Order: sequence, then C-alpha cells, then structure tokens
Amino acid sequence: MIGSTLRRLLMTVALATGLSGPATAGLTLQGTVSSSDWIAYSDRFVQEDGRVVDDANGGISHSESQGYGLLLAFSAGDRAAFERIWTFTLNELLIRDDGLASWKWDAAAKPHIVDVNNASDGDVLIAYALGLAAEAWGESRYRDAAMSLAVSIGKNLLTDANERVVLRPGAEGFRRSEQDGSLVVNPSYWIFEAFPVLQKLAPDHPWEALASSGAELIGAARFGPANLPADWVAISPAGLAPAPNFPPVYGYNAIRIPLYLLRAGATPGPLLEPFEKAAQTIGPAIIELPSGRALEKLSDPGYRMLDAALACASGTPIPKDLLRFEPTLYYPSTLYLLAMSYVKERQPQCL
Amino acid sequence: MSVKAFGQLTLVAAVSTFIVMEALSPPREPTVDAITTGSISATNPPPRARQDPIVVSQAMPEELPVETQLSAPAAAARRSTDSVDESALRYFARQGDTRRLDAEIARLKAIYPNWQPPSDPLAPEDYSDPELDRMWALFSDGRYADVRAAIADRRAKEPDWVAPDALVQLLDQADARIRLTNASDAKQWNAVVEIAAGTPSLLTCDYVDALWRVAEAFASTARIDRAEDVYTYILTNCENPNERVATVQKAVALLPQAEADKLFSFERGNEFQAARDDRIRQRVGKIAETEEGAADAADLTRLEALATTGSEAADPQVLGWYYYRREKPSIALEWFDKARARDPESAKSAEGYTLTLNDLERYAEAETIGYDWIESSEDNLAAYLGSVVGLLSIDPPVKVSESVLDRIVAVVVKARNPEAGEQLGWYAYNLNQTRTAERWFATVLKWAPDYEPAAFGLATTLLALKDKAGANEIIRAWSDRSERIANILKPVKADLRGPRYVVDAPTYDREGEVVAAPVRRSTAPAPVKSTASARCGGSGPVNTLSPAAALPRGWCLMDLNRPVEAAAAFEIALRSSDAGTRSDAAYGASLANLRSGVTDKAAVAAAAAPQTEKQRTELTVSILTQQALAMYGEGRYNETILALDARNQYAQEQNDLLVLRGFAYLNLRRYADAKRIFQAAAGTGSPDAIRGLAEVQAAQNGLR
Repeated sequence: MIGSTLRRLLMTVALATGLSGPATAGLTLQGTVSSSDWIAYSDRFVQEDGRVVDDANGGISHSESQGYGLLLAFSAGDRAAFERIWTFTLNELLIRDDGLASWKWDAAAKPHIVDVNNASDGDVLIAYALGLAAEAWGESRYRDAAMSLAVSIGKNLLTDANERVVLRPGAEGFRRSEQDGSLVVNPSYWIFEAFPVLQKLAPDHPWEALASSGAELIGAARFGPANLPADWVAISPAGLAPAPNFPPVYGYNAIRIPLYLLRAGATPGPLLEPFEKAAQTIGPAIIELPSGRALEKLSDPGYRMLDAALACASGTPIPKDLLRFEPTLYYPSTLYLLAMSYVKERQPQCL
Repeated sequence: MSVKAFGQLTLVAAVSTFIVMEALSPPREPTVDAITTGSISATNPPPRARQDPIVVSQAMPEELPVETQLSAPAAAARRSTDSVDESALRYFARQGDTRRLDAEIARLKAIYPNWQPPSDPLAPEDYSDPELDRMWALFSDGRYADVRAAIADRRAKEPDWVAPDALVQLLDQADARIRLTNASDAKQWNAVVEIAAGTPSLLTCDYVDALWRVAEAFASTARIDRAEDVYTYILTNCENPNERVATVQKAVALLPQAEADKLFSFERGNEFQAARDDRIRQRVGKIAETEEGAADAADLTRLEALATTGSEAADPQVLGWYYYRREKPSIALEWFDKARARDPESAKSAEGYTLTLNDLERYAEAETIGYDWIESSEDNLAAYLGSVVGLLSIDPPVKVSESVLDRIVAVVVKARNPEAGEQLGWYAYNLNQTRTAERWFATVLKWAPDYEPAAFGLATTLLALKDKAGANEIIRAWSDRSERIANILKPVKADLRGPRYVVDAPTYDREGEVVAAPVRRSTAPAPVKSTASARCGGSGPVNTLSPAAALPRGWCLMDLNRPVEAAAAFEIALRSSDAGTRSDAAYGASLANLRSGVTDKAAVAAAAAPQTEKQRTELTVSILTQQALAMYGEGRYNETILALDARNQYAQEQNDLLVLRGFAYLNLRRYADAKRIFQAAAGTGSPDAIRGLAEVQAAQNGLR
C-alpha cells in the first residue's frame, strides 16, 4: 500500500530529479542487528529499567532515545529488552493529555520530566517500533498503544504548509509565523520507513501525502554551495529557507536524512547526490550552509558509517575498520547500528 | 446501585464516561490478622453513613441510567467467580506478605463481588511453576521491568504461554500508579483521570496518594464536585490518621471554601485541628488581601493566638496586612514588627512595616527602614517612594539630612517616579530654592509628560521666578487639560499639594505683576505655643540652652512652623565650637529667617558659618532676590538696586528682575538708567519692559 506509494513517490522524485533505479519494499528489520552488537549497545546505553541514556547530553533520556532503543531492540529480536524499554517509555514519557510522549527526561531533576512538550520524531519512532513489534510478536498491548499514538500524531502533529501535509516538530510552539505565514519544520523528522506502518495503525490520516511532501522537501531544501538541507527549515509561501533563529547548518539532525532515505529504499540519484558529494569531498561533518564549509569534522565511527552506507549504495564495500561495532557515544552508536542494519538488509554485498 | 465495592472505590469505564461508585460500606472485607495460622477473621467496622454514589465523568453528563453506565468492568463484576486467579494471593500468603495479601484480597473482591477469599491461602497448589514463582518474587521486590522482561522472554520461548491474570493486572496497576504520578507531576490532568479510569483497582485506601492526585486533577479542570467526591470517599473509608489529615489539608488548598468546609463534618475526634487552623489562615488571609469585608471574630481570635504562640512569621504577617488594610496602623505595626522579628529576611514584612509607618505619618522611620528593601521588589520600592512623598510633603518642611536627601534623589531619579519627583520639587520650592524646584518639575515632566501636578508645579515655579514667558507656555499647553493651570493667573486660592497643604497663590495684577507675595500657611491649626515649646524639649527660655541642645530645638521649632523662635535657637547653636553644628545652624537660621520674612537676617546667617558651596550660592541668591523684592515693596528703591547688584555677583539677572531694576530706577527718577534697562529688556519682547519704557516716556514728558 503505502510502501508502494512511497516507492512510487521516490520514483517520481527520482524522475523529477533524475534519480535512477527502482526503490525497494519496506524493511524486515528483525535480525538485522546482531545479538552481539545489540548486547554491546544495550550494556552501554540501556538501563535495567528500560531507560535509554544519551550519555553525551548529561545522561538524560528522551523520546528519541527511547524510540531508537525500541527500534533496535526489535531489530535485534530482543523481546525482553523491548518490553523493558517500552515500560519505561509508557510510564515515564507517555503521560501527556494528548497521548504524545514528553520529550525530555532527566534523572537529576524532580519530577524527571523537564520539558513536557513532545518531539515529533520521538513519537514517530515509538509508534513505528510498537507497530512492528505488535505485528511480529502478536502483542495486542503493543498494537493498542501503537494505534493510539499513531492517531495522536495524526491528529496533533500533521498540518498544511504550502498546500502540502507536513509534520510539526512539536505539538506546542512551532506556530505559523504571524509575519510571513512561514512554518518551521525539521526534515530529519520524516522517518520515511515508519509511514507505511503508521498508515496501517491510523488509516484516517494522510501518511502518504506526508511521505510525498517529505521527499519533495528534501529534494528542494538545498542551501548554499553544498546544496544540503538545514536542520531546521522555514516553509513559507515565498519558498524554503534555513529557519531563522536556528543556526543555518547541516547538523546533527540533518545528517540522518540520507540514512532515512536509504532505509526507505532510495537509490543513488539526484535525491541522494548532494549527500554523496558532501561525503566524498568533506566527509562526516557539521556543515555551515552559507559557506559550505565544515564547522566541525565528525570522526566517530557512527558518523563515518553514515557515509559508508551512502557509498555502499553505489557499490563501495564498507571499510574494514567499520565492520566491527564498538559503542562510543549514544547518538553515533545508534546511527551506526541503524546504518549497519540497512546494509545487512539491503546491501549485504558491501560486507 | 448494582456494583458494590467494599471499602473500595470502583471506577467503571463507559465509552467516554467514568463513573466512580461507592456503595454501602459495611460489611468490610475480612482482614488477615494471623497469616501464619492462615486464619482469616472479619473485624467489625464502625457504622457509617450511607454514601451516595460518586459519579466521575470526563464530560460531566447528567447521571445516566445505571444499566448504561455499566460496561465491560461491570460485566466482569457479574462474571463467575470460578475463573478468579488466586495465584498472587497464594504467593503473598506463602511469603507472609500481609500487606500485599490484604491488598490483593481487596482488589479481587472489587472485581468479583461474589468471590470469597480461600479459607486457607497456604494450601498446597496443584501445580508447580518455578519460573512463575521467580516472576512473583521479582514482583514482590518491586522489580516490575524485570517481571515484564521475564514474561516477554517466556512468551518468545513458549508462544502459547500466557501470564496469569493476577500478575498482569498487578503489573498494570503498578505501572499505572507510576504513570498517574508522573502525569500528575507534569500537570497533565486529563491523562491522570484517564489512567485512573483505566485502572480502578488503583483507587483504594491502599493508594491514597493516587486518590489525592485524581482529586487534584478534577479540581484543576473545573470539576470541583468530582474532587469533593474523591475526598469524601477517603474520609468516609480510609483509616490512616495522617492521610486523613492530609486529605483535609489538600481539600482546603484546592476546593472552594464551601466545599472544603463540608469535609470537616467527617472529623473523628479533634483530628482536623491543624487543618482547621489552616482554613482560618486561608480565610483571614484572603480577606487581608483587600480592604473589603471583615474577618470572622472567632477566626481573628484564633489566628491571633496562633500568631502569638507560634514561631513562624506568616501568621503575624497576615494579621499585619489585615489591620493595615483596615486602617488600624498601630495594631498592624505590632504584627509586622513581630513578623520581622521572626523572619528578618522577609521583604513582604518589611513592605508592610514601611507602609504602616507611612500610614502613621512616621515618614522618617519609614524612609530609613524602607531604603534597605528597595531592591527586593517593585512593591518594596513603591512603599519606600510613599515614605519619600510623605517625608517631603510634611508641612512645614522638616529638615532632611544631606545624606538622606542624596539617597532619596538617587532612588527617585532611578525609579523616574513622578510623584516623588514632584514632592522634591515642592520641597525645594517651599525652601525657596525655586530654581531647584523648577528643575525638578521640568525633569518630572520629561519622565511623565502627562503628569499634570508637575506641570502645575512648573507653572507655579516659573511665575515665582517671574518667567512669564515660560509660565505662559505651560499655561497654553495645559489650559484645556487642567483648570487650575488655566486659572493660575487669576487671583484665587490654588491648592498646591492636595488637601493637606494650602498655599495662597500669588496675586497678580492684570499685567501679571505680583502685587502680593504668596504667603504659605498650613490648614492644620497653629500649635499652641506652650505645647510647641513642650514638644521641642521644654518650655524654658531658649537662651539658657547650650549650643549643642539649641540645634535640635531649632529644627524642632521649624517643624512646628515657629521660625522666629527657631531662628533664636539657631543663633545660639551658631556659637558652637563644632564646625558641623555651626554650618547646620547657619543653614537653619537662614531658612528660619527666610520663612519669617527677615531676609537681611537670613543673609547674615548664611554668611555666619560654612555651608556647602552649592547650599551657600543657592541660599544667597534666594536671599538677595527676596531682599530686592521686599525692599521694592517697601518703596526702598536704593536698597532694591543694592540687593540686585549684590545678587548679580552670584547669578545672572533674568528679565523679571531687570524690569524690577528698571522700575526702581524709574521711581528714583533716574530716567536714563530706567530707559536703558527697559530698552534692553524690551529687546527680548518683555511686555513689562515695553510698559516701563512707556512710563519713562510719560514721566519725562511730565505726564505722570
């Protein structure tokens, strides 16, 4: 259904942008994270109580870390860990009146929720992972929770911008600008692989249109000499621009975009081209868009793995030193496992 | 009611309606009092009033017929008791965990009203499942995540295995309790009610904290009656004394007065005394916030007793505010004093104390105390500025030391406060420091261009300075907005500073010349002389005083507006060997002489002792101006010229004084000099000078 729509969409974008090659169907995921990698990851970042710790940010947790934890536990086929992570997520974060997850949890604060607001990518990840687990493991509890979260996302976070369906970054704030009607979005919150699952969970909401707008957004939000999207983009009737009040960078948010595109089935072509080019010419980096220069080189294997996955899509084997996973910090380690999961499922020849 | 819960609140979920029902309380559930013997005995509870059912709803619909209220859980209630999962109960019994065993019995009875607990929970069970026992053990340790993980693991290995209902329900209940707490901490009230509705077994006396949070969620979403129901439920059914008191305290904090008061009827013995006192604090506190109404006499008596015997500052502070706002400043001051003694760091008490001193017209003390708190809050600053206004508007002006004046000026300028700035203007004006007054009024008008009192002050001051052009400008700008400014040139009494102070406005002839100098007088009756002397330290003759004692006597007499006697006291103080006293005395003598109109003496006094350069110049110019005007008024034209010549050494002669000089020459028949002066002044457009020129002409033509 939506899998084919997304495929068609990516094809359309591909045609429009000169992308060649067919996109493929949705991911199976289960088993694409090896148990040894998962044990190494969860020993480091997942606590007994199911809290996934972002150790580079003062040991806080957030809806995104819980969502990634669920997705990786599912990919590793670890039902017990999934259950732990889910229990923490439900009890500690899914306490909002609107059914979305509060995004920021700090062990040092009392109460632990330090910002009740949500972050939409966290909600999407959680609903997506729950939906996958419900389907694979036949757990009705997961299905019920996934459905109500998906409906809540559809109801509270989808809105229109320039006649397209977009994902608001949060339920509070991020209002349309009163001056120029612009709306700030985060292109890296479009986790394309999740939308077919959300479509099944909450069929009354326009997930296909959301996927379509996301691909168009990423194809069009190309700023500066590097032609890359900004972490935060303002959509206004006049067009797209790096969002005011945010640094105009291709940063820690946006670096996930090519990974999400790959995992959703994108193949080399104009949509991926600027990311490939940046990988080849600059390497993993936070890139300042106006100048197109690297503000900060990223040496962690997790970030290098993102570039390696892109190169692999064009046939380049994964470098030997990246084949073995060693957890470093939460975020790059997570990106590593997600990228490796993609390579294992779609590009095993690169290994 | 078809659903009965025993000592337990059952929350029944319909589609969008949650109904909490509490049926006849007794008989209560049996309690296990000898777990080791396995015997169960029922205790006899005290008889209780029948409670009406509690209906809790999201949308507050009118009460539905019972049958439609009941949905899935109600169906469960009617379910056969054959399927009751007693594994938890038996596990807790084996562990000797009485508390959990009791809770489990209560929970099962709520779900299956017809179920009877087993007579022997320790009887051997007909199955052995060590893995399940391990799960129960983890559960007993509160390691819920581990239990969940163990269940998930087992289901992965044995897809057909299902965890026992009791374990799943207890886990759900434990998680719901955590989730409800988190939602409540995050003020997600609808989520709180939703979680409670989904987990009725949580709403029992075992988890009073959950009940409190549900009540708070209702109270915070305008469902006061639902909140009241929950509190009523607790007070009717739950036994823990601390929780009962806390329940009433929470209700007092969250419910409107009438609803909270109803809950006191559930008191057993005297258990709610502390809560009742809180209620009194709340009631009096609310009344104390405004000037409206009066507190109940019994409430006041009780609070005063609490405030006297207690050690906290809050009670006396509330009483301070209460009496302050009821115009009983003497009583208020005592309470604020007590509050300040108990908590010297309280800015609020300091504010109340300052305001009360203002009310008592003890402005100097108020200024001293209030000054320490001006940075604490806007309110403290406002109280201080009130003291400043009061201090500066005392009539006749009191002496304010230079250091105090300096800090007042600094605060007023920083705060750009029009009222206090205006008072600094009048203070200067009343001390004949007219130029200074003019600058203050002008400054205030810059801060607040629409502040009429400053415009009036400026116009008054400009007229006093004979700057008719300047005054006319103000009159033009304000005449349509201020009647008193429009009429300022008319010979009527003008009210300068509100009802307490009256200054006779200068009287002007039709050309605007002063024909009678303003004489200030107070509306307060002049103090009787003997009283005045007594108030200033005895009735003995001034000349028996030592110089040191004469100085405060002088200022005191100034305060009582007895400048002649004050001048005598200052003259004695001038003999002091102390330079500071001499300087102060000279300043005082100058002011006293100025005020009594003895301007030449003022000039002498000004020269008698060192003063600050600024003080001296301002005073000298002021004295010479007064002298010139006084001489002219007495027809002593030569002396007028001399005074003006002397004044010229300190300050430039403005137009009005030039004209005065012209008329002095005219009267001395020094026509050439008069003509020269009038011509110079007429060059600037002065109508008086033009009139003067015409008069010279007429005089020379022998027509005068």
